Amino acid sequence: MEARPLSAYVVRRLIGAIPLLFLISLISYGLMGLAPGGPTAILSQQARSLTPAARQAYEAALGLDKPWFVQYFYWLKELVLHGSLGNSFVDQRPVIARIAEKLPITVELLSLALVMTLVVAIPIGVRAAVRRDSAFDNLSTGLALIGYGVPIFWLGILLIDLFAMHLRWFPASGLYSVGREGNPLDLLRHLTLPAATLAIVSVAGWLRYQRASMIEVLDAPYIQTARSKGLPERIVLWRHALRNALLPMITLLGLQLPGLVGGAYFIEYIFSIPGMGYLGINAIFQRDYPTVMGITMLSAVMVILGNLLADVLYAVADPRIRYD
Amino acid sequence: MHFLRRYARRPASLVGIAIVVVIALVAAVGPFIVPYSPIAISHQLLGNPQPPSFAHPLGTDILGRDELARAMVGARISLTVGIAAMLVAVVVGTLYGATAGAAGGAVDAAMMRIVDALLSFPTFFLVIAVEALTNKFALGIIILVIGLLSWMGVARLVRAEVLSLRERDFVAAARALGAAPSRVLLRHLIPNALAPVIVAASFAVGDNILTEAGLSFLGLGVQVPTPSWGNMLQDALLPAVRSAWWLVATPGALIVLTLFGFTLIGDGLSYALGASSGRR
Amino acid sequence: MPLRIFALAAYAALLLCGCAAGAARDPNTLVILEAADGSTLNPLFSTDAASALYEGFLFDPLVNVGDDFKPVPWLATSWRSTPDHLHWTVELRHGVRWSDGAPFTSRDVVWTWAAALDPATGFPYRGQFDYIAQVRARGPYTVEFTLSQPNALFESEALGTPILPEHVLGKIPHRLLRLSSFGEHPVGTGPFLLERWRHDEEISFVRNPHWWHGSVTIPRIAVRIEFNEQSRLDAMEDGSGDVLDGIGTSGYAILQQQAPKLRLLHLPDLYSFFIYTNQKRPGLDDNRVRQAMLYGWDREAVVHGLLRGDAIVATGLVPVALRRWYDPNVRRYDYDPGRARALLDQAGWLPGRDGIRQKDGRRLSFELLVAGADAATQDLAAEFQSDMRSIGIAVTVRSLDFATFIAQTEGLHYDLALGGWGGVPDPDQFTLLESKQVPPVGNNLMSYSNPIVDRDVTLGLRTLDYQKRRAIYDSMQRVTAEDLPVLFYINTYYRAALNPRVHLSVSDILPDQYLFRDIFAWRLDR
Repeated sequence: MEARPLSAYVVRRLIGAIPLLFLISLISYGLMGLAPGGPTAILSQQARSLTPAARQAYEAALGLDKPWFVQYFYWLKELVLHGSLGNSFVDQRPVIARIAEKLPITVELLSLALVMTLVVAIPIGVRAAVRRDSAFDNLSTGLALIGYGVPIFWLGILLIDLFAMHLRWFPASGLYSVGREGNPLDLLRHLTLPAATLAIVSVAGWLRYQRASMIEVLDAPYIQTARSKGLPERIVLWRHALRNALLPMITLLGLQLPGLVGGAYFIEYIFSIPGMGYLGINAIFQRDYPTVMGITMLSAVMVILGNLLADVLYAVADPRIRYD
Repeated sequence: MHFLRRYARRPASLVGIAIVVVIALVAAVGPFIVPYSPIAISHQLLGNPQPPSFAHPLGTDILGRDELARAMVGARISLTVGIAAMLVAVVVGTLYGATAGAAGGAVDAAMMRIVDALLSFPTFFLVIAVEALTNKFALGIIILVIGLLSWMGVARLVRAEVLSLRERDFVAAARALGAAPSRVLLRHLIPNALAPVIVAASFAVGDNILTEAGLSFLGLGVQVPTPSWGNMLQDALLPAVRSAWWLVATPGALIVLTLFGFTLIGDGLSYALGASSGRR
Repeated sequence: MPLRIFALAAYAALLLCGCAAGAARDPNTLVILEAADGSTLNPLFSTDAASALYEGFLFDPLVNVGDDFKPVPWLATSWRSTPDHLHWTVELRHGVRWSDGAPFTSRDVVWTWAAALDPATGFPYRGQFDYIAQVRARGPYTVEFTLSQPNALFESEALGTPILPEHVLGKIPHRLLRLSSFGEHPVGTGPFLLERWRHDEEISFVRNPHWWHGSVTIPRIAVRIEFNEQSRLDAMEDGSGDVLDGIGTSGYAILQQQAPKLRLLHLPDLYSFFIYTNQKRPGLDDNRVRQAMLYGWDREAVVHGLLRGDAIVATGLVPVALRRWYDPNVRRYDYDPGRARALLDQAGWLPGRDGIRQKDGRRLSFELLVAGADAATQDLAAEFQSDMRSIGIAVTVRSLDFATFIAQTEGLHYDLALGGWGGVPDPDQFTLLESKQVPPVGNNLMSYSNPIVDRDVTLGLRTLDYQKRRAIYDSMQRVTAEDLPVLFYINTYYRAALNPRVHLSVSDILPDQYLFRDIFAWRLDR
């Protein structure tokens, strides 16, 4: 595999993402228009604590007396040139700083949930596809159908009640116990239940497509060929069939990303995990508009980058698609 | 008709319909039959939720209100919001997607870019942000907000169908006969594109019910004292009533059951419509 | 297959031994658990409780709080006033040093007050000290305050304000004080020095070896910020926390059950909660209607049922905790829906066809604003709504976020609003009840106007003699229990937990931030 075509592909996709990012910033900014008083009220509220002279200068710099599209460009300029998304109403600290502190935690939660999902869903999906219409297949499909409809916050509450309150195996909430900040084992303990909640719901969604995709691949001629060549079933299954079945799943993962991110946010709120979701949902309750807007926008950016990553992975796995 | 028979061939699909019909019936008629009001508070039972009994088959909640009556009204809300929001999304999405697909070229590309951008946002977070920003929790507004944040999937589907249908014979024939583009759109393209939309719609109802439940759970949806499965769950979280398992189980189980029904229907429709139109 | 089982077992083992390894505990550090971090260490700009807590460690006031909230000399050794209470002379302590070694003098007091009273600074409580006309030094250890009118809160609030160093801040123009780094790098005269501040995580203090009062018995304080209540409770249970400042009803019950060794505090608190009534709205302007609403609201059942009995039904605006001022001999409003209905009939509001009362074609219907969308608040609102309905008043509930709630109530766009008030160990209610104190001037959101109450709260604020003042506030409590400004709801309790190794030095334990008033003299068992 030559390196050049892949990097060219990546560059092409990155450039293609720019209009998308621009649209996202426009939509996020427009969101503020829904607030009472609109963006003007929001941005000038930041200035409330300044003296009148300083406030006037601040408002002029943001173009608050100009029409909305001019305001938008001022705001965009602030963002692009200074990396600033404004200051939080709650503690006057830059929104970017507050989000940057919380982002790694959300990523950790999502990663753990993803690992759990794949570790569970892939083997089950393979087995169900191989033993089509068996009891195992029907049971797992049935469970997936039911699990698809479980409200994530309800599931979280049930898991807390069972594993944290009754059995006391895991902590009910928080990221670290007092005095153990930074301890990775403590982190893992605290993230287990939240990640598991997210994983269970993801598995339900994943299983259905995994099974369908796997079946399609298993029926393909080249699999019969591999079998007839005397390759052991395990190798046929895991090395050939699964690899090809997983390719469309990568795209599916990209499609599921917004839902996963949204689910993670809700989970963080239920379990008091101080990530972006916890920050975001609390910011919504506090009407901390700059933070809400910042998180909305960054969530979308995360999803776009995630999709980009998925596309690159797909391109690595299947070189054919690069040449379009 | 052919497609109905295909649908009925799978028992799971029929189970789905049965579930949804039963829930709808209970929602519609139940509150008239149950002797309790869903909002009537009992001073004696304040702070002391009662487990299920003959008098109260699903028990009472922390304010002494009958849980069964509340669950039934909650069913009404969930079904209403789920279906109405789906209709909003379908109408907006179909018009948008059909227009994009029919227009083609740069217009189509631009319109779909906007859809891509919108789809990148985590929907639930966006819904609660919009509700909180506007501070308006009337049922109609909730329906509009959920509907207007979920039409993008439908738009993509419709556009894809329209694009593939565009080049087909009957469209060329209509054009040759001098039909105006909008007429072609409305009379020919859209009806044929509807099959995948119907499938998506039934899954969408389920998603909308989950969204409304989450919204009400956070206090940003249906307001006191009207019960919704979501805000009933919020109540069930009070430390004082964590031991009242029937309060935690009821709304959750009902949501799971309702969604199970709609998912089975969606699967059934997918099977019935997918094969019959000769595609895939 | 076996590989996956092995992996699962390894994961489980990792987690279990993770919890066995506890954290090392430093016996010389007092660990205080707080739910939220402070915003700044500059007393001129903070309004939140956590910041006030930290400032209490770092700075000293002229006068501190003693048993029963009585004033004790602190940086001031004595103070006296002229008979008209307009001129106060305060003698300052000699030999006090700032943490950087500079001597404390009257210049610091004068500078602190000049900054506080200057509008350009932006001191959030400036309006409360309008009555202070001038602050002047009379020699290095004497300060003279000139007031434009006598004020009963001068001793506790004005003289209780922390003093800041003139030699550090004096050169900064007042309008730029907010931007100075003093809020992160403070210099004070207090019992502790700032060691390190990791925002939203932990702030630590070490004892001041040169503190004027004497030696500080606690070597080090670490305030850990843990916003999750369950985590705070867990930390108290396993001993990693020493003081839990502020616990909810259910958390308290959990600790009672699961951590019996802890010393639990349960004290009547200084806050009152009530429903504001906008008396410009038709219906609410009639006292009989307000009285009917209070008779028709079963607050006992709410406290017993919804709050597990962990609150006190309020009989007025002065909380039960203010032992020296609370007057129990006022009209009581025990639950009596029959009386409520009679009053409403008398007032001319008669039941319409749907059960809701009407008068002159207008329905007796109100909107109740609540701040907060949580279940407890919703349940309370739903109960109130139901009680009102059964006496024929229609109430709709709207929950708002805090900021919007404040904006709407201060803008007087409301009928009823659930709110609270207090935290100050004084019966003064001037800005709440005086008829001219309608926003934006004051906090009279109700547009309440009663000439006797006006007289009482105005006079009470200006009277310093305890007996005279007591009589005035007794009158105020009696009259406000008849002509209702608000619908009284509850007085709350302050709950806290202490590790058994912590020993306070006073026996009169006061709630809220006053719990820590003697922290420099606490003892830790080793």
